[in-house]
Amino acid sequence: MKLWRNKSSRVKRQRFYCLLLTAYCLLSTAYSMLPTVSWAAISCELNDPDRDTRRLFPESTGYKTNVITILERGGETLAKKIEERLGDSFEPVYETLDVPHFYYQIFKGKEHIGWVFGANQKGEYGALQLILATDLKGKILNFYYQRISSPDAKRFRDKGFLESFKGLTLNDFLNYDPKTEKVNDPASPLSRIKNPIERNDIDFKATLRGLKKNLIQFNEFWSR
Amino acid sequence: MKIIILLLLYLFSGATYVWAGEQSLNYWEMNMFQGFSKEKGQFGRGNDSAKSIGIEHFSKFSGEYGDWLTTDIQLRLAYNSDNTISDKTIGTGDPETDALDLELHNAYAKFKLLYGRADIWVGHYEPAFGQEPQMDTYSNLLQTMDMKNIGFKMDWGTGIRGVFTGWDYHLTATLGSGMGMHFKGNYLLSGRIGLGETALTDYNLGLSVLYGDVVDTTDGRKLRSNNLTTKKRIGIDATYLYRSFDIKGEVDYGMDNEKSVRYAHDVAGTWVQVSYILPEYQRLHIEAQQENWFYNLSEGERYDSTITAGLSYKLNGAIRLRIYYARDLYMTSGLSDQRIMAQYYYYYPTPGRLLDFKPE
Repeated sequence: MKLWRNKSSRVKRQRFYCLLLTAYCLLSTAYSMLPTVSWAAISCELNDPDRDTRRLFPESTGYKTNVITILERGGETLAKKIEERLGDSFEPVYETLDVPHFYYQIFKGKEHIGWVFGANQKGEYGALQLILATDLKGKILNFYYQRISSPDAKRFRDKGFLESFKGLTLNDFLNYDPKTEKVNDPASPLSRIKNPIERNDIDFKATLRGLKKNLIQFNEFWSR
Repeated sequence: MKIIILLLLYLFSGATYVWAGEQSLNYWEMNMFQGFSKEKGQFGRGNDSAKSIGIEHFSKFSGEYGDWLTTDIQLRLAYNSDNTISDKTIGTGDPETDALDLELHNAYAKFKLLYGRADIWVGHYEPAFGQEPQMDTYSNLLQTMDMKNIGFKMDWGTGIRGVFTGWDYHLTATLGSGMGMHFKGNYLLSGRIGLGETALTDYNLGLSVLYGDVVDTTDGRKLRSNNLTTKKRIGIDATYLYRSFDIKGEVDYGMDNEKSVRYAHDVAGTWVQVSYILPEYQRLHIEAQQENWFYNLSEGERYDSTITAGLSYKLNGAIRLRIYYARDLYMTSGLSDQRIMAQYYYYYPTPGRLLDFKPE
């Protein structure tokens, strides 16, 4: 397809366009300074949202994706608030403010029936990707590890262990202190959940911290 | 190129119109690549990488009760420091001789149909063959076999993809000319069936086939001749997540028939890539790749083998640094080489952290 009449005029035009591009990139810097979302940060989105949301909510007919960052929702102020509620500081590799958080609003026809969302958490051997399916109020309906690098991954993915989180809410997790790594209220259903492995409790404690963070962020972003 | 520039102006204009139900994300990219070859000295372009600045504009469109469209445009202005900037080396579309050129990566619209059972895409995207559509190698120095196997990584056309419990399919019908749009009777049909969900089982296996007449280009860009090559391929690929390892592999076999000279020969390739996250220091990935490519396999005419290994370090939320060493274990040409490649890769919503070398 010949766009230009002859080679030299074509080259001139192309040079002009290249210069235009460079100039425009510089000029639009101001616009680009507006906070948006980056995937360079390690996001925790579903590997395959269609398949995963259908599995978690078999009655669903569709979902709506919402991408939110702490950076755009409140920046450092919001980060501090989340850290206070979490009882721990953010971890620098997986928990930067520009991390995009994906929230999938699940619909059955026109009815909003639930949520699916995840969080990354530093584990013993790499990132844990913790995915929750909740009802509209944030009560856990389902929990699974999208990624876990532990040699004991099978034990963590055991159905019995995952199901022990069903029915829990943010209020239950607020009893967990990631610094002391203890559940403060012995009557809390969370205190009844036991580490599925004997070797150590690093990934178990990381799971509790990650789920608490996940539910706090959901609460901060979506509580009305 | 005119179209690309106009799109760029629209996308990065402060007055960009936001459709109802649209969520858009913009990213800035800068890539600084430099290599050193034992045989050829310094080189500024290699492994689909050069010195470049780029942008990505990603949008999701949702109705009241669900998503229905995803669009993505990703392009970069690449500078190949091996060539001198002159009238003849700007924007000709020949990656071997150009010093400066615009390169298009993603440019697609993906429509959601039947709740992910039959999504349809149109635009510039990966043909459904092997590992390439499962990965995003755009910024990586470790590439798949697609450049040797097909001649390009992305192509213009359309495709349909569906996911089901435990399996997925992807069928594509594309031009067979790569990034450059050429119409010489070329076409490319490909399809892949995948088994397994990495989210639940930590593995995915794929069986791919490909058939078509591919046009003769330089890396899927500038038309070299009007000659067509009929390509037939069958391939299997696998991904396995084991502890802190991410292991990927692909084996392909097929025939190339150069129609103008009526010369047919078989080809084969094997490719394996392993990435390991250091548990104690999770910013650092150790990566290695081994690739073999056989031309005219049954007569043993040519055989190239290369191993690459290196480190990928996430400095902070915006910058990743990579350094790799590549060694040709065997080259039929006899020009076995050794190379060191280094890369600074920036990807962030704003350009403000280009020089932010402070670790987070």
